Amino acid sequence: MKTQIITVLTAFLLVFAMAAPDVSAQTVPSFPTCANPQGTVTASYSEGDHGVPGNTGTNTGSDTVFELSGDTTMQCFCADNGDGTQTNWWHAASLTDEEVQILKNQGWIVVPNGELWGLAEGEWLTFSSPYACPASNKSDNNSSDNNNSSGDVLGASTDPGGSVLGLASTGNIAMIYGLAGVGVLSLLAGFLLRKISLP
Amino acid sequence: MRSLSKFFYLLGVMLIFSSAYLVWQRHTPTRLSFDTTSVGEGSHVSLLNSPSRIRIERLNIDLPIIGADLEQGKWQATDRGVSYLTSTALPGEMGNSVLYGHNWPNLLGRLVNIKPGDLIEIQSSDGSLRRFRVAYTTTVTPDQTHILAQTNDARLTIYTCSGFLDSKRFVATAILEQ
Repeated sequence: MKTQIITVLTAFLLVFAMAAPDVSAQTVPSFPTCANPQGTVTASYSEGDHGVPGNTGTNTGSDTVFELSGDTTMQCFCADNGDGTQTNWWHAASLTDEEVQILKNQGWIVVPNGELWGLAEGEWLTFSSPYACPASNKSDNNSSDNNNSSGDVLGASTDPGGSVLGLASTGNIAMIYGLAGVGVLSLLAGFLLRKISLP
Repeated sequence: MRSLSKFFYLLGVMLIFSSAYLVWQRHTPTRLSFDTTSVGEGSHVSLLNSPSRIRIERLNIDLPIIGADLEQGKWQATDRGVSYLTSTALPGEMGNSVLYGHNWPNLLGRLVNIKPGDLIEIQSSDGSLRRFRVAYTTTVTPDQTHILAQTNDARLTIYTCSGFLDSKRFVATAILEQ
């Protein structure tokens, strides 16, 4: 019976332990999104075939590159069919091999020589994620932004309401699962304790 | 020991009923509830020009818009419709208008099905109607607040929770149709 009580208490601890935040060993720079790009346009093409790290197929569409800082660049590729790929480029020259391996396990791809991609020479880490963009046969009111190659900064990073640490949480599914899970465990604990108390 | 057993039974029943209530809340049509959320101080939005309704016909979304503020970094939110961040540009004016809402089936749960090319209509209190065409959709993490940055065009940014245990944010960006 003591074993059962210990099992129940352990289950409680596991529920709360699972809610603990995942701490990443790396401090990855923050990148904006292609939906609201920041930085300075360094290259812009409204059509043609373009390279995307990790994608060996033919990538036909528009491509715009934004320099965010000396070490970070963002590439926004939009295929003709509306499938977009945002690639974050990070010139992390000071990372150790172990740190690079951790990032590779998280989905980052190593580009050995950025110079071949029009960037500074040396090793770059890239991370690509999909987004949806206007297909080439649809009217695109944002096309003037994508064709801007004059070096203008396309967006100011002004917080709309002071210090904004994160976007609003608009879901409560974790709370629902948590309440239901802890509720079931409580019922189980009550049942086990009742069994113990019976002569 | 029996008292402790009763305590855990009662606690378990209460927690399960609470989760059941939250599930019911997500699926009921917009309910009449007294919400103290109001347009915050310092907002440039007046009653005459405030956005009042959002429609996305293809997704069968037709909801009221309620003004919301950031108070010391905390987001006001409503369960009666879609929140409009009043410190951002008015929909239709130059800049980035930010809207957000719960990913419940009765609110913005279907927003994740929106696609570039879809039409979003925003009606204002003065009866005017503005149309926005979706240009981009993307999924970001909650710390990617760059989507809130102001822009040199007239656009709408609308988002809701998505992903495993609502760990991500689904964002749709739409540009004003002239």
